[in-house]
Amino acid sequence: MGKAPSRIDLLRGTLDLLILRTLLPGPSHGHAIAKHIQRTSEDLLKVETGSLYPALYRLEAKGWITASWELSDKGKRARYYRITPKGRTQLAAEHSKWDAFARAMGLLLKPAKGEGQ
Amino acid sequence: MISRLRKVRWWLQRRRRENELREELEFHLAEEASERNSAGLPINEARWAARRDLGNVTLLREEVRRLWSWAPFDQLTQDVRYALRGFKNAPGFTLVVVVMLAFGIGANAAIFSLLNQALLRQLPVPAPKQLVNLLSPGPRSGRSSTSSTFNVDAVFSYPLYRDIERTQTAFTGVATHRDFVAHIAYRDRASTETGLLVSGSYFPVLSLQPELGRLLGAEDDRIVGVHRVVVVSHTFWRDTLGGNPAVISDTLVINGQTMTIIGVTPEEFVGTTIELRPSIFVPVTMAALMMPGLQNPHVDGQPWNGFEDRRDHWLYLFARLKSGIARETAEQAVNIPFGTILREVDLPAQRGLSETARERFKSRRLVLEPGQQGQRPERAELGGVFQLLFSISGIVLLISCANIAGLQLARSASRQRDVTIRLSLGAARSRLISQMLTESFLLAVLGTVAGFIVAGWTLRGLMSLVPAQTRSIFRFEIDAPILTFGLTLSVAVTLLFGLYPAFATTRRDLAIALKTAGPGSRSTVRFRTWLVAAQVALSLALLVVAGLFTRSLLNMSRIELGMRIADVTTFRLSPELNGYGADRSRRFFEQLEEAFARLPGVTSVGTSTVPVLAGVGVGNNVTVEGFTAGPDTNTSGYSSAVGPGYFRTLGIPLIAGREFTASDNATAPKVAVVNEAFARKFNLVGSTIGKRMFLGAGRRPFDIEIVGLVKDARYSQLKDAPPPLFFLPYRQRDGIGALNFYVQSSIPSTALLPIIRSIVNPIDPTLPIENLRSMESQARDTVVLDRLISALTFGFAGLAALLAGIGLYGLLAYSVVQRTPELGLRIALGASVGRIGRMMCGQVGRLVVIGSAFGVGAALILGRFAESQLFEVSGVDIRVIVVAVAGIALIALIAALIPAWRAARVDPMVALRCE
Repeated sequence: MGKAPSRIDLLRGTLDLLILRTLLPGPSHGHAIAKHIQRTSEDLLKVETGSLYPALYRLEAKGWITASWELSDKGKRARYYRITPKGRTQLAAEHSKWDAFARAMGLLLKPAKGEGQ
Repeated sequence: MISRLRKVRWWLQRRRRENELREELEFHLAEEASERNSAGLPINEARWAARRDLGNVTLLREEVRRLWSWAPFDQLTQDVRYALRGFKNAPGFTLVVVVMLAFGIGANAAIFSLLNQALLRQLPVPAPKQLVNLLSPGPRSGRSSTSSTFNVDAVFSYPLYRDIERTQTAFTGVATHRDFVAHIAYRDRASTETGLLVSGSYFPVLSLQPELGRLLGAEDDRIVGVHRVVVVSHTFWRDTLGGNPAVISDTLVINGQTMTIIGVTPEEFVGTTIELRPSIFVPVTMAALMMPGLQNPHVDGQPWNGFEDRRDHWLYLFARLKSGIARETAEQAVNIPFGTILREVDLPAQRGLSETARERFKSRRLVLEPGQQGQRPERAELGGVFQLLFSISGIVLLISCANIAGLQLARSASRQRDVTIRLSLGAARSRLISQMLTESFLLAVLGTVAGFIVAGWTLRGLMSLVPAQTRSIFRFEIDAPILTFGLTLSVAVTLLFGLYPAFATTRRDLAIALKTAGPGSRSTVRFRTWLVAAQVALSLALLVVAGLFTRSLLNMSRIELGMRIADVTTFRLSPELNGYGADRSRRFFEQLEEAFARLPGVTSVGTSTVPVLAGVGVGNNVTVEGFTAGPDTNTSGYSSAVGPGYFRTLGIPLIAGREFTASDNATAPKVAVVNEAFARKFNLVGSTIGKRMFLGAGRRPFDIEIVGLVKDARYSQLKDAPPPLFFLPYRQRDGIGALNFYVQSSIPSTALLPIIRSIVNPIDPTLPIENLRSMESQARDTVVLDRLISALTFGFAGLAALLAGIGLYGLLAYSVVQRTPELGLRIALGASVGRIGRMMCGQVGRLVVIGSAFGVGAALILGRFAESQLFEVSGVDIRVIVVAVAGIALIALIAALIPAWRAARVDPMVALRCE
């Protein structure tokens, strides 16, 4: 049995961003969203399913996504979420905020020139 | 941000959303399980893994639920549920509280409903606030005739009305109206109804739409005497015309005139004058034909000429302000042309005004008063009555609330431990208080609902005291104002009886509260004691007021009428309204007088033009031989034209001279009988008989000789002292078209109708017999307001005393339970039964003394309020106060008996074991 790669706990607030990004190409249900986040992050991000659903309802309450009952590709009734225009604006804003944050973190963590080993 | 609206919507859909979440999670689990299953896990293990992966589902649900729950709502439903559970566990408490509130609130709701109907209700027309009533205070000469109690400033002459209508610019229109008695024959049915003469502008100014057909319009009052059209009220159409839509363009015979029905008014519209509910609306230009009595010459010998005469004031006016124009602006605008008309047209037409009166006449103005309620009597008097009634019913409610607060305290004392534990476990005090207030509010709402039922009974009971014709006007109706009033009261009483117990029970001396075993703190008992003292005080005040009104009613029943009316029945016949001419009417009356006199069981018959003790008076100026009057001296006397048996039938004693006989007719010399007050006013005392007089003023021959002097007797109102009065034989008056009959008989009034019919029918079967009743009931009706107030105060005071007694009983019973250990100890130490009883009675005695002291003070204030409604009783009456205090003491004693007896019977062993 090989040791499983250690997963990174999600930073606060980033789950919303990931959900919105996942919904950008098209509608999806809760399970698929969770799988998609895990898969695209090469299983590095551990999405607590327990926190996914409250997050979805919260986003719905904020009006960033809407939900409706549709049939899944396997023919079962599932709750599909789609991103709203308001959600897209929010995603763009969050995205650029995240970029700035990541850049700042990168600058701080990269060893400066002249800093000897 | 989550909008509040969405919160409410989600809250309302929370059950459905809950189900959706469950389904969504199940879907998730199924997907996850099937995925793991296809990856190689056995299905059972795959299911478990999926479940593990999802984590704590309850927590998840909670977190989501918080999103769509709305804390205030949830708390409220929780509180309501808690309260309802509490009511179920204490049905006795709940019932007692609701019943007490029902009486307290019912009393107030009944009074409010009366107030609403008498003073507040608006006319059911569009934009009623734009309506204004027109008044013109100041001197005027000639005749002013008003309907019932409305003041003379509100009536105008027909020419002046048309002048105002023509010259004004501030109104959409000016309307006029006047009521009349209508004999209406339809097919074979005849009835006496109220009719209203209206201008063509009446319905347009009201902006009323017809229920059927059309209403009167401007084209219907152009020419005097030709517009034979009539609009009928919805009630008349439904009840008398059978609600048949085909009656449009059918005809009615109204006071002998054939009129075509053109329309029906809407159901909610009942006229523009309170207490008058017209059945028909007729163009004002038909006045002379509708009121045949007007055609007869007046006292001063002139025939009626109301369409031309500027000294005949008989029409009520109202108008609708053009939209956007304020009442004050309109008043200024109409007064400019009005002043000109007064000076240039109206003043020259006046006669008999002194120089100062002429000056005041010129400065008369048109006054606009708010007309959204139509025409109504002076508010001032009724306002005072309602102030009094409201203070009384308010006090009843206060006493109810005091009782309930006491009960709440007793109840919460037993809950004290429960509350204390919850507080110490960290419950917020505000949460507990809001819970208790919710409970109180629910009780208040239940009490209000029950109170509405009580109010319905109260009003129905009251209406049994008033004359039949006004009875239908007031009834308890649940409408928007009464609902608002009920809700306001509910909130108010919630605070009154719920606030203190809620705060007192949740006081935060936890340590002490947990330690004390016995229920209730000392301050609670002290508070309850004060509550009971206050109840004693308030109910004493009410008893005093009730006593004052009882004395007032007693005084009224002891009024020396100056006549004997015990066996007298009265009724009215108006042949003129059936189109009889003057001669035919007179022959008819003479025929009837004879027929009645011959009737077995009838001792005597009298007739008069003015009904006796019916609140009606007719005044005339007279000139009496040997009496000189200045220009503005009042030379009026009240009068009545009567038949031969009048004084004998009513038992009015003759002092000197003679009564009228059948031979005092048109061909005989003119004669009069006067009363003592008349003799005093015109200096005739001692030499009345043989003096001469004439009607009116100026220089004319003295054509009437006084042939009789009678003792003073009440005339119009039971309460008013007899005015100066002269009587003329109706046979010597022209055009008597209607007479009131008085029959002295051993046959009761109720049995007389068929007998009267059997006499009238052979002569004219279509003639209605109006207003048949005993003279006693007629006299009683002139003091109907006094009787209503007395009944109400008496009922309310009795209720208050009963409630105070219950409150006192509750307090004592509670304090006996609370003091059981102490009492047991005392008895064990040798206190006698009598001593314990005395101790308890001493406690009651102190309460009653303190309560009475304040109560007498409150009674003095209430008495001042009541004084204007009292008849020959002052607002401060020592005897009444003494009786009331004795009454309260008796009630207190009765309330104390059982608890005192219980206290004395405390078994020391049982009591001490409790400790």
